[in-house]
Amino acid sequence: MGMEPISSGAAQTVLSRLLEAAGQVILDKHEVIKLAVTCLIAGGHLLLEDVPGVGKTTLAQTLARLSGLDFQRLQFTSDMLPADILGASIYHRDTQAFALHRGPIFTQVLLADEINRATPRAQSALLEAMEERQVTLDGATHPLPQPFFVIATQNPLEQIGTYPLPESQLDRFLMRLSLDYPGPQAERELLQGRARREMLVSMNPILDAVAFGQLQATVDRVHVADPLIDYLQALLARSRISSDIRHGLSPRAGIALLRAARTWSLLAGRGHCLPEDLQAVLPSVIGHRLTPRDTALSSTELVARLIASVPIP
Amino acid sequence: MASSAHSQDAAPLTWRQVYILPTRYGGGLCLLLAAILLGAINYDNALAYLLCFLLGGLLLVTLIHTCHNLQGLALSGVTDKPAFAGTPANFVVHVSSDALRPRYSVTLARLSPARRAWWRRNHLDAVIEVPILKPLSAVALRVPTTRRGPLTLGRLHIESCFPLGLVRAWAYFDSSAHTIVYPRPAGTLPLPHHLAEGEEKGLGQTPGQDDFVNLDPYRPGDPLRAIHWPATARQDALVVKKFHSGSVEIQLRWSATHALSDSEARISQLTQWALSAERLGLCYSLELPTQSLPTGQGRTHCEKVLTLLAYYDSLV
Amino acid sequence: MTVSSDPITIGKTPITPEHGWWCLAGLGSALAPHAMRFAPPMWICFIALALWRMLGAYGVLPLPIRTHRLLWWLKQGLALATFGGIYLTHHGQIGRDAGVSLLSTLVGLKFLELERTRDFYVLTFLAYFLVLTNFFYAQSVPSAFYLLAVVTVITGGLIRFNTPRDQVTTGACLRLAARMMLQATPVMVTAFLLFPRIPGPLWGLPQDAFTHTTGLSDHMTLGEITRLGLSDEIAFQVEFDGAPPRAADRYWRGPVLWDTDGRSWHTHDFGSRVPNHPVRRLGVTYRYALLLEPTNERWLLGLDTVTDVGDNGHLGPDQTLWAPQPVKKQIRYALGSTLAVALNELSDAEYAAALALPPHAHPKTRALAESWQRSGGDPAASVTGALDFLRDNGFVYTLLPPAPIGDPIDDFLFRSRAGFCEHFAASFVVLMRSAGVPARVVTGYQGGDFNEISGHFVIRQRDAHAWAEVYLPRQGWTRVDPTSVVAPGRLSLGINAIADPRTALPMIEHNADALRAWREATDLWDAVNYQWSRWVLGYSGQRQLALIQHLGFQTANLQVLALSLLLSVCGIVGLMGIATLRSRAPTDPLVRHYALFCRKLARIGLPRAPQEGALAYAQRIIAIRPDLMDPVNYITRLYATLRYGNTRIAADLLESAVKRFRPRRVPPRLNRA
Repeated sequence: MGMEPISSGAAQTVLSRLLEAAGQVILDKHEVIKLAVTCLIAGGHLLLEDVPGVGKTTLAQTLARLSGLDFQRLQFTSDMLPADILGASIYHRDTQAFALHRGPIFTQVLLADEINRATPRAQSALLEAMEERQVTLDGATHPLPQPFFVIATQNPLEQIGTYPLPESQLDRFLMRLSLDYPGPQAERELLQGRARREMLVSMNPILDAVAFGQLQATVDRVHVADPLIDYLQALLARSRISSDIRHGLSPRAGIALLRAARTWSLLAGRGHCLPEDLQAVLPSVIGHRLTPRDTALSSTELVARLIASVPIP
Repeated sequence: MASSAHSQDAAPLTWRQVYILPTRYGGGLCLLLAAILLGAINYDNALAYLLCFLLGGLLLVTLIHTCHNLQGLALSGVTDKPAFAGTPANFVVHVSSDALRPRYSVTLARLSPARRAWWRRNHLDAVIEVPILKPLSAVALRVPTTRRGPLTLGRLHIESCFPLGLVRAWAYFDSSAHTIVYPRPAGTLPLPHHLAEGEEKGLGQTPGQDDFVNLDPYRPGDPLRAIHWPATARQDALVVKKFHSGSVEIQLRWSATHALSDSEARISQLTQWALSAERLGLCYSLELPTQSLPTGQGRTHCEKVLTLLAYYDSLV
Repeated sequence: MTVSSDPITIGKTPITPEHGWWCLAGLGSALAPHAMRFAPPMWICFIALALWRMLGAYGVLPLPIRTHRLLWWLKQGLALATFGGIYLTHHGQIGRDAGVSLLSTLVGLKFLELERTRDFYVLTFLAYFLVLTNFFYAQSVPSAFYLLAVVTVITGGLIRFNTPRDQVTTGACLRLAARMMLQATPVMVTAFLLFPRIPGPLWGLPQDAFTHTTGLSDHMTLGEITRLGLSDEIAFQVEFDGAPPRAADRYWRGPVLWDTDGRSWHTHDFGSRVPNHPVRRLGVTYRYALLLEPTNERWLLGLDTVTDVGDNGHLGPDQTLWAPQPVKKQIRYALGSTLAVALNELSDAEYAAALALPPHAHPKTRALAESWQRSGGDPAASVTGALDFLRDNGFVYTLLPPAPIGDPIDDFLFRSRAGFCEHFAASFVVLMRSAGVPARVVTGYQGGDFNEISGHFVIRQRDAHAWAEVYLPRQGWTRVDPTSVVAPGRLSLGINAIADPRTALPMIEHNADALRAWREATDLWDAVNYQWSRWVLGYSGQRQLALIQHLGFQTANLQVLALSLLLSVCGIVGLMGIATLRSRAPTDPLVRHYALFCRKLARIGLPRAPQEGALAYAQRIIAIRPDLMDPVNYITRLYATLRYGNTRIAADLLESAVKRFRPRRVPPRLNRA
């Protein structure tokens, strides 16, 4: 938004500090943390899909805290109304007027927990606000804060009584990640060590909103060469005609991929984007956008096949 | 990755993978050349020698041209759609060429699994001409289907006789694309009207029935018109009918086709019923001796039912 | 993007009218030169059949395919009728002419049957064969180029047949055909030079196997040479080794005619009765090579008196050079001749033949000659007397003599007094014989035009000449040319100066500059034709031998030739294949160098997967071979930065780094410290 970009070396330093700090809170999940940070810096929304209790909330809180951003948690229930999310005008008897109460969405990092428990109406209210980055209440438009992220969580197993996000809406999330169970060592540390919440409270933010903006501007400066675009287009084209995939990737997916890849390059301290960066972010960025023809194939397998069948020009 | 003998996905054809042989017209030209040469020798005619060698040189040059026409092509993807037995299955083959030059008279075909002799020229199914004027072209191979079950595309045969038709170059692509061939819908038995203990079109007044299979507890956001008031009144909690647009449910049972003796006919009849049910917007379930599928509706459900029927092995 | 077409059957292109036109173009243009050589019925028949087929293609006429029984039988009947006609016309002989007529009829009938792919190819091959038949009639440069164009059209037709109509234009087909033929030229030239020339013929040749010849023959009637005087055809061409003799001395001796029946003169076969007489040379010997057009005769031409025959034939008693076989194709031979010789011996048989006259012929001529004999008696005096008679009596040398009335010689000498060289020569010899001097008529050529550009003499049919030789007691056989007293310019300046029948364009006849330019152009054309005849048409087994020996092989037998031919052709085709089919190296130098780097690593067993990025690959390599860490890292970083970054470091750093990179297959043993 008019922030000054910084050098890629400085960006990498700052980001590695962020990653390291986050790694102290969330043990043994360096790749996922890295991808999550990538998602945030790239300015996209994150979908965490996992069984309960593996640290989704902790991750969201950690990221918010260490990035120095405001955090708000919203637990979705099946009776949630859009007004519960966005806000409403409430009549105050004493002032005899309607006052606008902003909903929990007016924050910088919103953790939308168990989004699949909300009704489609509530879901669409949130998703629309994510897209527009503004909220219309009573005819007035209120912009959401900058930066604005939604980290939504979803439990893949619990389907009964839920409204899982349909494929067309999944597209709005830049990445879909899953944490999975921690390793034995990490689990031991978790059981024996300090509570994560306490640890988090005691840590200082490493970034602030300004730094965040600077980092985002730096991402825009990461150089993308023609051969890389060729590779990206080859991937997109291949996805559209592969016999394993029912529908291919849209140009929006391509834009998302590029943005994520550039951020990944920045994390590696490079001023230019490489095909390896595309390959690294590919599973998380397009895993939820592809529908396999053969339902037995997992999306990881699908993405692996896609990478394997496109040579780097 | 790619074997040297046959090209796989996206690897362009190299000249080593292209087979070349003269066609019978090439053989005819050789005979002609022999005749011209004999004439040249007999009459000691210099220009006759030149003509003979010019045509011979032309034949040798066309070897290169024909090979070059195929070289660099790659099979870059196959998409498929399921089909019913008896109708051809559509495989869309995407062919990419690595160079921008146009190629002419390239034919794509599928090696029929019956593996007939190549000299009888009927070893190919679904022959189609591929116009390769763009880097990526798509052609539809219509593979004939006779039996239900899985259908693999298998080995593809690509060939060209351009430019003179005297020499044929061909190569093979291995494709792993496969699709399901659903059974051919046939049969004249009427749809079974086994309604479950639910009702048709809403409210049924079957006395003495307390447990309604088609009811769900109310969830906020459910349409109000789906609320089943009598049950609500009875249970003192909001109850809605099954959250589907149609509520008639039929069961497609293997046993219901006992009138037909041939198991294939029975499968065909079940297929016919399933398609009719889907068309009428009913909910249907499938029950086969070894497998069954719960009630459902919609395209995905229909596909599941048809897939089950396609794979069903009646000899079990 | 999906294209759905109807399934087709491989190899079964339907025949469209356009294919018919292409076929017709090829066949027609191959047959066109024959139309001028044959009677109209042949090509009228062909055109009729072609028209029938094309009209049938457009639906105007029904075609005689199997479903139309009546027309089919009609076609068979037509075929039989034409075959019968040809058979009768050529009297049962299957010669060149009969064969070509038969072929053209067959082609026409086959064209009528054009229905399937197979028919199209058969017709194309027949068109090629028709091109071949043209070569039995004419092998000149223009016809060669024309027939090359015809071959291009035929090949273009094949290309058109094998490409979809809407994607390729007619012009593109022809251009591709021309390009392919150009590519076939190296093979053609190599094969032409190296293919062993098997001495033919392999089977008997028909009578009319070769070009119809004009020119002198072994007999002459008055008026024949006059007819030749109008012909521009080349009779032979000569290259001299050194300075040539002057024009007046360039007498080219051909058949010597001894016998006459009053109207025509014939050669005389002395058989073995007369031995060859020795020839004494009195002057300088000229050496030359003569390229003779086919004559279908056994005598060869030579300058004046041939003294050095070589192995080209044998000399007869009258100094005529005889070849072992009739000259049916162009031959080239080298001779040596001397202008001043002494031929003093005369056998009895020759003496008798040289005086023989038919009884009761030429009464007035005889009377005149006998009057000289009575008055002088000296043979030399008879000669001078006759020459004076011819000079002083207003004789005219013309190409258009009046028709003779009565005895031709008497009529010429006493009434018309106008004629061409044969009239003068024949009447002179009759006079001599009547006067008791042995004489004979010699036919041949005189003079010839010098072509500045190629340095050789061109002697045409219009230079044909007849003169006389008389036997004088002391000098022996001496040449006497009666024409010289009447038209001396004929000898020194050539026939052109006297009666120039050489065709010049009417409009430039009176413009000296244009005329000169025209002459130069025709000379250039003659020079081109001469070289063509020498090098291409005259490429014989001997020339081949010389070429092989020139290339360094000592012996040039069949094996050497065949082997070198095979190797050269394979080599040429292999080179062309490599140039075309080699996978195009990427033109981007960065990619090329990196590809080389990957190839070097692949050679030691560490290939890069196509979807593997540069950094990932480097990491994998280093994990397996830590000893390669430095160069691999350097090169990879350099490549990644150059290819995907936007820095400006020099690209040749990468090139030199890759060139220096030489990975060893086995890692060096670590020093155990």
